[in-house]
Amino acid sequence: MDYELNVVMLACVNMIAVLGLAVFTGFTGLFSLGHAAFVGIGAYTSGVLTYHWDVPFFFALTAGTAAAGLSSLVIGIPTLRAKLRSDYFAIAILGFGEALRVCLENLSVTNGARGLSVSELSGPGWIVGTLILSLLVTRNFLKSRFGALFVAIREDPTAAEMAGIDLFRMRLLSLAVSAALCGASGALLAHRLAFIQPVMFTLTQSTQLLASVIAGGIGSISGPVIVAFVFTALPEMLRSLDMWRLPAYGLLLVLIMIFRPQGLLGYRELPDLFRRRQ
Amino acid sequence: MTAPEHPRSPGASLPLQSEASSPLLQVRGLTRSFGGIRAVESLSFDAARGGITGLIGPNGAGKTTVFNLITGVYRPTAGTISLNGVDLTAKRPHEVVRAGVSRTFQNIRLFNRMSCLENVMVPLFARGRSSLGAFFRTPFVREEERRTREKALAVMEEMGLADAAHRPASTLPYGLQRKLEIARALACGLLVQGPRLLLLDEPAAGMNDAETRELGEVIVKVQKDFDVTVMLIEHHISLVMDICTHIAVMDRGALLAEGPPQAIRSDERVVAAYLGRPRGRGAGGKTEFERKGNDAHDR
Amino acid sequence: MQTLVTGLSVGGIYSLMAVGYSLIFSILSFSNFAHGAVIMLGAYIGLALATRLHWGLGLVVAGSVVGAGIISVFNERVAYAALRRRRAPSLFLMISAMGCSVFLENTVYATIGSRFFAFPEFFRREVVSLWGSSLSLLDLFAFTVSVGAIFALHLFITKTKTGIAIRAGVNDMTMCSLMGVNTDRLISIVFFLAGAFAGVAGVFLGIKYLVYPTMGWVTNKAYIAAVIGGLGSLPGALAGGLILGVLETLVSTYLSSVLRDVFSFTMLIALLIWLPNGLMGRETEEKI
Repeated sequence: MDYELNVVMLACVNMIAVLGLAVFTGFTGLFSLGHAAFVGIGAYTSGVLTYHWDVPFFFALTAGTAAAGLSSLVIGIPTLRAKLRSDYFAIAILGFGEALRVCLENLSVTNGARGLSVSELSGPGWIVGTLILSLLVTRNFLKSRFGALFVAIREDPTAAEMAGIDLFRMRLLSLAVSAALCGASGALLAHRLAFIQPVMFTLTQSTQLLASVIAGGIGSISGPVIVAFVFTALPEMLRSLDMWRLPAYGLLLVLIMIFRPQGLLGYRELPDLFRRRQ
Repeated sequence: MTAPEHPRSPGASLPLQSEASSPLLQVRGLTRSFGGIRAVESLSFDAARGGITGLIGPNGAGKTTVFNLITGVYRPTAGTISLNGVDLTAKRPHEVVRAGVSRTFQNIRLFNRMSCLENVMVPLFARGRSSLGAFFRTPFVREEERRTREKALAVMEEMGLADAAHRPASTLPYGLQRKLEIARALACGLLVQGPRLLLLDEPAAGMNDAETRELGEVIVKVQKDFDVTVMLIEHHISLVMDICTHIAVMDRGALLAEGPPQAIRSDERVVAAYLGRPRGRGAGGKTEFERKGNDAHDR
Repeated sequence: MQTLVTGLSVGGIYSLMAVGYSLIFSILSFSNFAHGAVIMLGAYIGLALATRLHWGLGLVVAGSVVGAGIISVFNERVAYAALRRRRAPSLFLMISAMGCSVFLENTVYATIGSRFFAFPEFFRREVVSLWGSSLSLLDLFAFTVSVGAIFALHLFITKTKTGIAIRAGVNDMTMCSLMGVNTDRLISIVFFLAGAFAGVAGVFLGIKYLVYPTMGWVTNKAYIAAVIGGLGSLPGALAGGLILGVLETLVSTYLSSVLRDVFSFTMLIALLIWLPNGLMGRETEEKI
C-alpha cells in the first residue's frame, strides 16, 4: 500500500511540472529542453531553506515556486527579447540547465554533486492540494485573455504581433508561469524523496517532461496531465524494464510525430470528449 | 457595370482635407535594402484622412515591403513614417498597432485553431487590463471578457460574419476568411484613441469579379462605419479605380505617380510601367492593368 | 600560442561535427538533434572494427563513414520523411529528431551498457612541436583531416552536378521537384554526407577521449559552433567550430574549466542577440 501511495504521489508531483510545460509548449508554442532546471531550482531553493534554516514547508514551497518563476526571467529576457528561432531557444534553455547544474555541483550550500538530504515534509495532503490548486489556477489562467493571447502566438506569431500582442512580454509571462509550476513541483519532489542531487534535473528529465506534453497533446491541459500520470506510474510498476524507459520515450516521440502529431488530446480537453457524445 | 457607391465623391473630400490640414500618414524618403538590393528607394507619399488610398504597381514593385515597413516588421534603412504626427519609424510591430495601424496579409494569416469570434477578440484582449485576477477568474475578469465578446460580436455583425462566430477560423470559405481578417484588423483599432489606419494587402486576391465587387462595397462601408483611413494594395485595377479616392503607383521601389484615379488612369508613365516593361517581372500585374485599366477607360 | 594550437585542434573536431548540422539545416531548415547520436554510433562502429576485426585506422574511418552514413539516411527515412512529405512544421521535425536522439542513445545504454571503451592506440603518444608549442600527432592528424574533408565537401557542393542540385534544393525544394529533381534522393545524399562526417568525427572523438553512450553530448557544442557560424553555411560551420574551440580553450586555461560549458552557452546567447543568423548564415526573414 505504501509503495502504491508513493508511486501515485510521485506521479502527482510530475503532473504539476508537466502542467507547467504544457502552458509553455502546448499553449504558447515554444519548445523547451530545459524545464527540468526549473524543477531543480524549486527543489533546491526549498530544500536549502528547510535544511539550513528549518523554514516551515509552506514558505519553502512558496519560495521554490517564486524562485523558479523569477529565475526563468534570467534566461527568458535575453532570449525571448531577441526572438530567437524556436530551435535556438531550445538550445539556449538547455545551456541554462547545464549552467545551473554546474552551479549546483560547485556550491557548498547545496552540498555539491553529492546531493542534499532534506526532511520528508510533503505528505499526500500537500501534494494533492498543490496539484488541485495548480490545475484550477492554470485552467483559469488559460481560459482568460492570456490563454487566448498565448494560443494566438502559437498559431501565428507574426499575425499575433500585428494584432497588437507584445510577443516578448506574453512569451515571458508564459515562461514564468510555467517555470513557477515546475518550481512548485520541484519543492514537493525534494520533500517527498527527502533527497536531491543535481543530476536529477538534467536533459533526461526535461525530455520526459516534453514527451509527456507532446504525447498528451498540444493545446490541452488534461491530455498531458493524464499522460504524465501514466508515464510516471507505469515504469514504476514495471521496474525491471527501467532500462528501456528512455528508449521508449524517444521512440514514442518519433511515432507520435509521424502518426498522431496531435497527441492523446490535441487541442481538446477531457470534458470535450463527453460533450461531443451527447 | 454597377459601380459601388463612392464613400464621398472626390470633390467632397476636399473640404475634409482642409479641415484637418495634415495628411494622416506621411512617408518621407523611405528606403529599405535587402543585402544590397533596394526594395524601396526614397519613397515619399501621403494618405489623406478618411480616404481610401490605393497602392498599385507591378509585382515586385515593393508594395508589400512598404506595408511591412509601416507596420514595423522591417526597420527602414532610411526615411521616416509618421501617423498623425506620431513617428512610427522605430516602433515595434505591436506598438505600431497600438498607435492605430492595423493590417491584413497577402496570404491569409488567421489563428486557425481558434474560433472566428476569438480571432476578433484577440486584438481586444491584447489591450485588456486584467492581470493577476486571471488566475482566480475574478468578477473583473469575467466582466472584461463579456465586454470584449460583445465588442467583437458587434464587429463581426458589421462584417456579416455573425453566423460564423463559433466556427473554427480554418473551416471558413476563402472569401469569408478574407473578411474575418479585415474584421480582426478593425478590432485592433477599436481601443485606439485618435485616427486609425487600415492596411489591406491584396484583399481581393483570388476572388472573381462578383466577389471583388462585393468586397469593394464592404471596404467602402467599413471605411465610413468605423471611421478609418484605408490603404490598399490591389491588382484588381477596376476595384482600385472604383473605390479609391487617391492612388499611389510604385515601380521598382520608387513612387511613379500619385493622384486621383482619373489622373492615374491617363498617366503615361503608369501605363508605360505596366505595358512597356522590357521583361516584366510583373506579367500578372501587366495584363491585369491592360485589361481592367482599359475597361475602366471605356466606361 | 599553446592555447591557440590546442584550441584549433579541438575546434577542428567541432567543425567536423558542425558541418552535419549545417548541411541538414540548409536543406530542411530544422536542427537535427539526432546528429549527436549518429556521431556516437559512428564511434561504436569504428570501435568494433578496430577491436574486433583489428582493422587499421584508414579502414576504420572508412567503415565508420559508411556505417554512420547509412544510419543517417535510415534515420531520415524512418523519422523525418513522412513529416516532410506532409509539410509538417519544423518544430515537429525537431521533436522527432529529439526522440531519435533519446532513443538511440538510451538503446545503446540499455544494450551495450554505460561502459567506457578505448580505441587501440593508433598513434604513438608523441608530440610534434609547432611554432614552439606542442601538439599531439592525433590532434594534428584530426585537424588536417577535418579541414581537408570540409574543403572537399565544399568543392563537392560547388562543383559537381549533385552538389549544384543540393544548392538548388536549399533555395527551393518545391521548385526543385517540379524541375524533375528527385528530392528524396537528394535528401538521402545530404543525410549520407552528414552521416559520413559524423562517422569521421565519431572515430576521432573516440580516439581522443573514449567511447560511451552519452559521448554525443559534446555535439551540443558542435551545434553551438554551427549556430555561431550560421546554420546552413559550410564555411560558417568551419569558422564557428574553430572560434568556439579557441575561445573555450582560452576560458578553461585562464579562468576555469568548470565554467567552460557555461561560457559556450552564454556566448551562444550573446551572439544570437547581436547576430540572429550567426556569422555567415543567410538572412531568414519570413516572407509576409
